[in-house]
Amino acid sequence: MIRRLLKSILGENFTENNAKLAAVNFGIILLMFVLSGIMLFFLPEQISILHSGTTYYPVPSVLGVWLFPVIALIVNLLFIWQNRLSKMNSAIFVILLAAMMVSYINMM
Amino acid sequence: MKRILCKILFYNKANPVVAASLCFIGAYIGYLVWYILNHYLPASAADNSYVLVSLLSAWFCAFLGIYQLPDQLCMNRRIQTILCYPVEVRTILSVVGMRVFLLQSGICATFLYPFFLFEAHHRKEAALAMLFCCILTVALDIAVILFSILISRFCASDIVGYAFVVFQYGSFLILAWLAGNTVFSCFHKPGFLSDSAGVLKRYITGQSPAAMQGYELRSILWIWGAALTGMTVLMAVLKLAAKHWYVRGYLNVQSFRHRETEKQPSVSHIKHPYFLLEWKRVTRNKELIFFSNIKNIITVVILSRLLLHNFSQFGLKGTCVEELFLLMSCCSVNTISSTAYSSDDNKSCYAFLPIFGRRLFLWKTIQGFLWGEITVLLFWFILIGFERPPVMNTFLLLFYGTSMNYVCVWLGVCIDLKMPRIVNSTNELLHGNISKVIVLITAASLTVVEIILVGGKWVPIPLLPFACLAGAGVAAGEYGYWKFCKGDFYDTDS
Repeated sequence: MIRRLLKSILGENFTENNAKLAAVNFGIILLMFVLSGIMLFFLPEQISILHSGTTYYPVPSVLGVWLFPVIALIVNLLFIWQNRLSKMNSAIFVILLAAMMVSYINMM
Repeated sequence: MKRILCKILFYNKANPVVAASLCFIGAYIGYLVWYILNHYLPASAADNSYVLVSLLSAWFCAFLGIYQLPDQLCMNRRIQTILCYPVEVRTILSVVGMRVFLLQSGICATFLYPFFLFEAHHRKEAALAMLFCCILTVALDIAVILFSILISRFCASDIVGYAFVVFQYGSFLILAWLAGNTVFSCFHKPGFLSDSAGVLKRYITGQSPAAMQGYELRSILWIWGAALTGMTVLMAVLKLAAKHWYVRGYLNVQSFRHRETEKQPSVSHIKHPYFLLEWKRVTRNKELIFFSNIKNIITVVILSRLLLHNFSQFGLKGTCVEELFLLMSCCSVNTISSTAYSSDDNKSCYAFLPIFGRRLFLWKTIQGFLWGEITVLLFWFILIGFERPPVMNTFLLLFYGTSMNYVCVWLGVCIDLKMPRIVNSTNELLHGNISKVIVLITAASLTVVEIILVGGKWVPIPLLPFACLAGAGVAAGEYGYWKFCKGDFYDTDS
């Protein structure tokens, strides 16, 4: 499915390497969704994900917990559209995953 | 026919995975925005939050139209191949326009669907607001296409690229200013949303006409009549402009970059080939120079204010936080470094020509550093002119700006080396550049960490000397990586 998606988006720029990297990225994002779902059981009812200056806007965990995976999904789609799949952006997703877990552990 | 044209012009087709992802993202963002507005808008304004949402969706649609339509209609190099075939200009315009309009409708639906699902008493208003957004978007799209055709046809070929950059970025600034003012008014002027909702209900949607006076009904009719006439006139002018001016205008835009010079190059010995390669890459690309110098000055001011507003709660008043954010923003928005490989037309040759990848990387860094240093010096002069800091701080600020400039330039070039972008036009390259965003996030994170460390007394020295040390340390680390990790720079001459 990922191969077909890439072929349709990248056209003649599609390579086997792209398919592997896209699969890795989608895998990391899926892991982010799964981990966020698991963390939902341990997080407080309201978490603070948005702020402007010193004012914080807490939102329910059920809503806020998906923000990181959604950002990662948007970034991944942008990478695929701009034909910039590389090991470097897989590393960026791993960093994002680590940042997400650190922020959840801090909130617990 | 239109489907084939769409595939040729945009080089992709709809995919269920992308469509599903976009639907999920839209549903999530729409719900999040609705939740935040419903819970955090002042009580007097919360009941009319759909007005704010419709204004924001109109803003996003206008933003998308202003960036996509000129790019796809006047800069897209694939149109040149289509022009050889018997395809009408009207068909090209309708294919591009419909695609952009579909995306814009998706944006409107994303922002307004929660009002249909969760607020039973606002369904009718939300439907009317959505209709209003769509009509406004169509009118804006037509105006943008018309203006793009006029610019491309009537601007001389040596300035037409600048005209487009000014048009697109100027419109973006006006839109950003309008959106900022609207959001500010919603939170700080309690009557703003209810007044806007009143105008929308009375003069646009014509609610409760029975309660209206005769002159109000007349004014509604006048407004709708004027809007319909305006749309008809716009459509007629667009049809005329497309028929007579579009193709010439398009070719005029294409000749902005690809002008042949009659002068024969003289035979000479090139002493610094890598410097020449880089110098030519930047100076040939007029849009790149224009974009990186003019636009960055405005971006820096907006960015540093935004960052300062969000991170100033760490305290440290009077310790150059503002100046650090300003200089950091100057350094991180360097377009010349973040497009170092993507804007290089020769990059396909580097894989097999005997070229030192490391030296090329170094010269790309130096080139970006020199151009970036102009902006740093400019803002440094302004800073010392307005604030007159102590002599020691003055030089430390310059040192911080210079070291951060190297850090950001190196990072920008490295990101572009590792994931270069394949684009259709320079304009496409300059907008939506994700490398620049990554550099900005990294530099901002570094500055925030420095502020936290000094603010929390974990580091016993003042912020400015510590920031200088950290900047110099990171720059030294990057230089060391370039010096010792030779395998990462694709040398083909070793």
